[in-house]
Amino acid sequence: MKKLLIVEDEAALQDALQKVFTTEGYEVSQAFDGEEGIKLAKEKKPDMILLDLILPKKHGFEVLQEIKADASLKDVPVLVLTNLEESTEVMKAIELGARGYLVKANYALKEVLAKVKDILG
Amino acid sequence: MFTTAIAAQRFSDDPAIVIISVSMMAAFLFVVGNAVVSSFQRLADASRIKSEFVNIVSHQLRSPLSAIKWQLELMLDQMKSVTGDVAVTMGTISRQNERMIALVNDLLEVNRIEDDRVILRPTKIAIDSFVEQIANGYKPLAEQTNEKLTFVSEARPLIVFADETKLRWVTENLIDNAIRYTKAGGDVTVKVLRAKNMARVEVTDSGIGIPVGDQAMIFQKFFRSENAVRARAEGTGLGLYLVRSLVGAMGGKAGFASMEGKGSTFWYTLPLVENSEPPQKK
Repeated sequence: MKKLLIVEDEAALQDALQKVFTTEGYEVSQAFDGEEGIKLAKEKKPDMILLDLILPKKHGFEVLQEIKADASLKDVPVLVLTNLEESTEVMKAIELGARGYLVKANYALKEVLAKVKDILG
Repeated sequence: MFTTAIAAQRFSDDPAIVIISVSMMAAFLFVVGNAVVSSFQRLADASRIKSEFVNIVSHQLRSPLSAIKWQLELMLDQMKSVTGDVAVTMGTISRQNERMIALVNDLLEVNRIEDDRVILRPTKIAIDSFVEQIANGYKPLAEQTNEKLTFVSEARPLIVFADETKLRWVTENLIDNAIRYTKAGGDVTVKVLRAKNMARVEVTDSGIGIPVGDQAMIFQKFFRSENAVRARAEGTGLGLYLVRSLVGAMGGKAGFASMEGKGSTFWYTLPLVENSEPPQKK
């Protein structure tokens, strides 16, 4: 069973993602702020992380940086799931090592699921 | 004050009066100059604040809209067996939510265009098959009102270097407009052709057309012609503004020809790249 960590502060979005991935057989952990995201990433050692950018306590870019700086986590693929879409943000996410960047409002849950499956192979 | 100073200089031989006049002119120009610079600065600040405001509001709106989108998707998945009024209502809510998302996306895109920071991710695209696929996707919408939607390609392949998402948006916008502003039983033709070193996409309809008096404003932001508002209340007047701006950003042009009551042809062109079918020898 593949392990997934979802770092997202909006409860309604967390809920939708958790339902769709649990139904598909993933083991889902949920973090509602950046600090909890890093803590759970270290504890759970997920196969993949879905990461929002605007997060309480620690911005998504800081979370991404810390994950990529951690030897035990640096190879875990991170898919940025955000509603920010400016070129500077997309480029920064890719530069920091994100494997993908999706704008939540423009993607259906099925498409997010397909992207995760694609990255995990 | 300025004209007084010039007059004084012109009609006086007294050097003192000339010096005073020139000093007055310099002071006047200094004050006016500062006022103009300050006005420009205020305008620039106002524009920047407006731009930031639209950006923040639009991004903030996207969060609840995406929550509604995903929760509705889950509900609709669970309600596959449900029919009748509930299913229709859920479908309506979903479509209205998608409209809101599209509107926010359009506002963000307008903001980027105005700030000269459009994001382009160009790739090579065979525009003939690309447009054909989009046109085919619109057949169900055309069939709802018994409109005949035809696709014609005069040359294949025609390769352009463009941002696929933007090009899809532009093409969909033109085809969608053509279908929606054409009465039941009408015709919509989507054509791809080569025009010298450009690929040209034309969308021709037998719809309401554009009144002559409105034609000069049709690509202006937020403009909608009166007959378009009468025919269809929905619409923001951003679509054609974005079409022209995005095509322009990708190195092409957009235009139209129209006759009120007879129909319109909207077109755009994009520069061709290698591997395209060579021009026909005449």
